[in-house]
Amino acid sequence: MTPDHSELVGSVLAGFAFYYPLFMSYLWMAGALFYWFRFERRQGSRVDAPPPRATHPLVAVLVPCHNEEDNLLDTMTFLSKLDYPNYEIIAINDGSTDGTAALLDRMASRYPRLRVVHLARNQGKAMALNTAAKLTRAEFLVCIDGDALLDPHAIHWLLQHFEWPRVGAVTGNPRVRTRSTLLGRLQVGEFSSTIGMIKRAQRTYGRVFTVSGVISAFRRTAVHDVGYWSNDILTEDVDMSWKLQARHWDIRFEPKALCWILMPETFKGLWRQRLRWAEGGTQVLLKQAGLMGAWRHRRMWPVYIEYMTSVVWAYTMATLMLFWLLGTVLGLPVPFTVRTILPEWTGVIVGTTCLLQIGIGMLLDRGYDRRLARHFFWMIWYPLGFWMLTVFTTIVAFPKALLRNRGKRATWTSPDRGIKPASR
Amino acid sequence: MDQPRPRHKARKPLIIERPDLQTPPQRVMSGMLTAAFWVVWIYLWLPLIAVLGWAFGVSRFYEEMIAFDGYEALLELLDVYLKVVALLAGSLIAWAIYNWVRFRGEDRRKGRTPVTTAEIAEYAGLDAAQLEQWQSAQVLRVEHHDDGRIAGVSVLSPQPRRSSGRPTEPALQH
Repeated sequence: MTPDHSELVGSVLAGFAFYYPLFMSYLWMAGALFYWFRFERRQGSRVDAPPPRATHPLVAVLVPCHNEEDNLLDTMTFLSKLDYPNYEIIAINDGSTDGTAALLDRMASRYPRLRVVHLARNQGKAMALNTAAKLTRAEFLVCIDGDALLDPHAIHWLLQHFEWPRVGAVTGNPRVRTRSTLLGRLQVGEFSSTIGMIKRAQRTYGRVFTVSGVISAFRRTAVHDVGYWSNDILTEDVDMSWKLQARHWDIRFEPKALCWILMPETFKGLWRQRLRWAEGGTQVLLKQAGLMGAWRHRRMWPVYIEYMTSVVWAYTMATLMLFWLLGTVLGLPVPFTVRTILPEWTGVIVGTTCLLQIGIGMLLDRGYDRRLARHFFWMIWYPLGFWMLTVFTTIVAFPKALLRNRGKRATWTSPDRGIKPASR
Repeated sequence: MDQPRPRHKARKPLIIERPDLQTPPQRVMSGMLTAAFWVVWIYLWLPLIAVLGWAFGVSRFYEEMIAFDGYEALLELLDVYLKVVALLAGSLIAWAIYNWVRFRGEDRRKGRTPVTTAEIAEYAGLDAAQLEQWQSAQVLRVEHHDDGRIAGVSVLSPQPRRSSGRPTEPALQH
């Protein structure tokens, strides 16, 4: 390449690398603020005062458990106190090898609402949900993880959306409990400033990329219609979201349906979790590529394109960093030059944008999580740290998802659940 | 509620904030990394600091201004950025309002009648009467075929006890 061309390629790539996240950030902010203005604001920010209901259909809370001995007492204590008159809890012991089975059997005699389904062998979360969804009389299924604490009013908040007959699923608002380490604190902010903000913006648009597997509610008729959860996808929640929307079921977000969750607090734990998310997301999008060719699925196109663009973005970022390191820092010959990875005024604008997005995200969620704002200080880290994490997990996950066997069963691995004090 | 109060409270607080459970090197590391990132942040803001410095007559910032084309470059950039942001955000919000107005109060697609136990049984290759029994049993054990279909279900404890008696040992254990 001639020097002119090499400069051009370098600046086009750098332009894409900087402008894509920058402008998407403003799109998320605008969408989230519109969502708040149009939907969220009306019902106030009081989580403990959901709108009254005329009827109370049976709700089943499904709790897949694989080696959850340490967390089940807390999970069940919260579930036994839900402020809803007509519900049952179905704990699915998915071939646990610890004391989960015996603990659940003991609990069943203590909590009349608790039903226990033991799977003879470890089958994976999707299979656990599929089994329990058939073994209940309930039309509405609230799915949480075995280590998650459901807010007492969550069912009320989730259920109100099913008044619309085409709503197939409602995703709640996960809040991070583990806040001891830097990584834990960053995720506290992330769940507001990225995850919650994107969900709001996507609802403004009308389609979502995914429900949160840790807290979502489903209409069983819709789940049945799409053939239940797929057992070969690493992120069964992303898969279910795409299957439902492909069949024109609507998915809502309910920021007041809170669920308190444990997240990884080590690099290794976080890496493994995010790699699974990235690989699962890619698996689903490869599987759903057909939607892109069908006019009747055109409303899914922007969500699809956004995801795929972010995969391209990750590879672009990695290329730029590599060439900047080789060419500019080490002075080695490279196909094109990267003049700087921190451009002048753009740097100021990127920096300001990040802080603005984090601030707005926290502002939108502050009514649901009173101690949120103090984590703004730690969030200085987030833009660079987590962008890097996204870049590297995407780069590793994309080929893994391409090469993964279709039909290979996705089963549990024991996740990192953050730093906890000893149980007693 | 018609159920006994649980005899234990959540054993861990809702929010677990225990930095003291980390090793000292881990704590020092987090502190140092955060400090390093503040430095990176300040570096991003250098041009702005330069403008402020120049505005307040700190002459040594003048060279910074030349290097970065001064504040005019910022104004030009902001002009372009604002137009792009307004276009993007405006399109999204216009789209949302269009859909809101167009589909207000009507669902283009009709709801479905709730799926019945018989339909689920047929889908899963199970006996409907048996499935209905399993749906009210309290403790069950399920075997699956390799392809994921349910192979067999055994009822370990038929009906939940609705009385609020003292917790007892489970009748059946694994």
